[in-house]
Amino acid sequence: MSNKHKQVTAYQASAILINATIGVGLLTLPRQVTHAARTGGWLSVIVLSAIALLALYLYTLLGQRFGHSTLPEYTVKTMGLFLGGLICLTFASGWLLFVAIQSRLFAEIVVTSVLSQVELEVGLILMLLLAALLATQDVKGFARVNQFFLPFVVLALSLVIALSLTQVTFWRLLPPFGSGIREILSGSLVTATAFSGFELISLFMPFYTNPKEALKSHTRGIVLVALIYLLTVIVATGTFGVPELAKSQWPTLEMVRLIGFRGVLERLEAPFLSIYVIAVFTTAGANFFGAVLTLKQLFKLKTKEGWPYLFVPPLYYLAIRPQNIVELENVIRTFSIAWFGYILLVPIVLLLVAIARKEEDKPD
Amino acid sequence: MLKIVAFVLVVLYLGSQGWKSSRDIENRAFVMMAGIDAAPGGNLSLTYNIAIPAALGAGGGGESEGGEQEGILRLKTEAKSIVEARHTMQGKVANPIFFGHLQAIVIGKELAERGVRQVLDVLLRNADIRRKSWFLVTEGNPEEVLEVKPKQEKLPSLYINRALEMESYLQMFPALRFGQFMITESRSDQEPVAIMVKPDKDSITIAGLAIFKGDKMVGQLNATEAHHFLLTARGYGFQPTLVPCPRGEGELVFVTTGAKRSIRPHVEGNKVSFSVLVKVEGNIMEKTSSTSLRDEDYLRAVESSIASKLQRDLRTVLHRLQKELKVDSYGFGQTIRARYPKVWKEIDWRKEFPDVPINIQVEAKIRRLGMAAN
Repeated sequence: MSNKHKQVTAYQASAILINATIGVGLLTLPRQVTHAARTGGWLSVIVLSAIALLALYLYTLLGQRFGHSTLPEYTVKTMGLFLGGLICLTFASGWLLFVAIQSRLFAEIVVTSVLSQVELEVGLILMLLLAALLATQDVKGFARVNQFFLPFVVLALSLVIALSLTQVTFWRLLPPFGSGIREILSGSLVTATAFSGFELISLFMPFYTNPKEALKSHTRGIVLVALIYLLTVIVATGTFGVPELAKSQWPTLEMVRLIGFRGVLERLEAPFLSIYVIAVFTTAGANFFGAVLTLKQLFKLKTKEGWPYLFVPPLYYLAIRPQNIVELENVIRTFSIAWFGYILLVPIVLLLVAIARKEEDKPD
Repeated sequence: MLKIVAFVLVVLYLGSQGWKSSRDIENRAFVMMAGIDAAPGGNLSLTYNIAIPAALGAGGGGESEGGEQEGILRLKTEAKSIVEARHTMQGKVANPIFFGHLQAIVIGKELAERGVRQVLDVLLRNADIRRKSWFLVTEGNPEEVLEVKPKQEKLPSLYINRALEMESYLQMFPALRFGQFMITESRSDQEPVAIMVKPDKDSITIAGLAIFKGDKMVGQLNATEAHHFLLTARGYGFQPTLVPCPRGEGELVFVTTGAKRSIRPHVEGNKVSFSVLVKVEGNIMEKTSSTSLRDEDYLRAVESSIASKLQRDLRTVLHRLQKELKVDSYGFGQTIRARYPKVWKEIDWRKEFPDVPINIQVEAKIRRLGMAAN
């Protein structure tokens, strides 16, 4: 019954996971997490990484149980058309909202830091259009795009972390546990923005060339993401200290601006952003792709050519709504915490119901 | 096909909007140095050194007839705020003002004493400005620093940058740049310091350190005191120490080549005290006495007189900072915050610091006598 070609390799699966997760959230992460957990911010990242790993494990289990179905398909199978359809629609709209958020935030960063004469709208529409372009590709094309772009993003971020290590003052990282457990946990809540995106992997599992290796490639992906986040938070805290981080809108970008040695390799923010645009593009694109695939399968549409572009105007309208960065960040905080709860809850419910109803895909 | 063409056209059109921000290098007004001081009536007086690339490329350098330096346009204005001042100056130059190459920000003492929060805020908010610019305080009018006509470099800003970098390369003075200042200013466990410079006709010298409490300058250390402060605070800031010979007449000069310091906090209840151990090592590089140094006992005696001389100096500076100025420029608070977070929460460090017992001990070791054998 499977009409799905086995075409996504294990490496591509990791690439999709990493690219879908690392987005614009990393640029604000050190400020938000240390604002809540002080010097214990790194622990907040570890806590949330563990939760994300657990959730990812659930999605992988579901994907292996339903070897021929994607998330919307097995949701409908287990929960029935109405409830399952509702869950899928929530997923699709959440992902679309993420496209809007990512695009707006990135346009905001570019306009503020490097291209001051360009209108916000230009960056926004461009990002939305390009994300839509990626969303209309087939699975194979999408996987290849991710495979191709992954090294750029990971190398750029590793380079930034490595070059910033010299700026770290050890004292600023102490006390290691910050102000307490409650603060660390509330710090993890803020990290949720940066960590959502990994759930998109559940749309690609039936396409894996080797489904048995799914868990391995997923774990590899999320561990790399967690490592990058963890190191970024540690290096940023050690470089700026908690009070100074609170004053910086995009501390990770500020870290990039500090890099330089005796006048060589200075002012790296523009080149960094031009590479980082890839990270944002793949995140927005993956979320858009997920929404489009979900809607296509839910409404049994034959093609996904053309119609996804119809989402661009409403997404633009949504993204442009918040008046400034303050309002934008408030909206994102509320949304992303609720959203993270949702993507944690859904696989638990699905798995329990599937086991109770003995729903699964028979292997060929 | 038509759809693809339309898509590509739209993307290309939007992408080309990015050119709006592009600006050729020769069409920018590079502010190389900025001087900011307090002016009467709560105003600020700003001076910019703007580089003129065309004039710089023409060779020559030095002075033109009007007394103006070649290659530099100096603008001055007064305003309530920095951004307004910048706006006024923008009206006078043909190209957009660009701060990306700002080498140094020179603050007048009067403004430093009034508070520099406003300056820091502008610098933080502006996307052009690098945290690596130098943040300097000068006793007199900052304009005098901007007007220095160095012989070794064409532009005063580049000269200042190279000179200060050299000091940090030789470990004589740390590179206290503006980013560092800003980070310390925002902390509660350490107070910021800034390098003070004194302009001359064709050079600048480091006159010491400006001591800040929060964003306000409260006092200053002269160059010698500054070195002693840095030795305790950072294990850095080397300078020659002149000591009398322990035996007989004459003097010795000890040059520090390395220093290690350890700060031990002692906490009992909410009572905090510190013992600081500074270990210096170095070489004897000058001697006017006839007593030979090839005698271990004698070297011990020299070491202990170096140590007691340094210990006296270090304690004098500590006394000045702790008892007179009452600011923790050393960052002793850091160790408490880091190791005893509970105690840290209980105490008001700014109030507590002047009464905290701090004991500085110095140990000196002579490593080398140079190429001489006596």
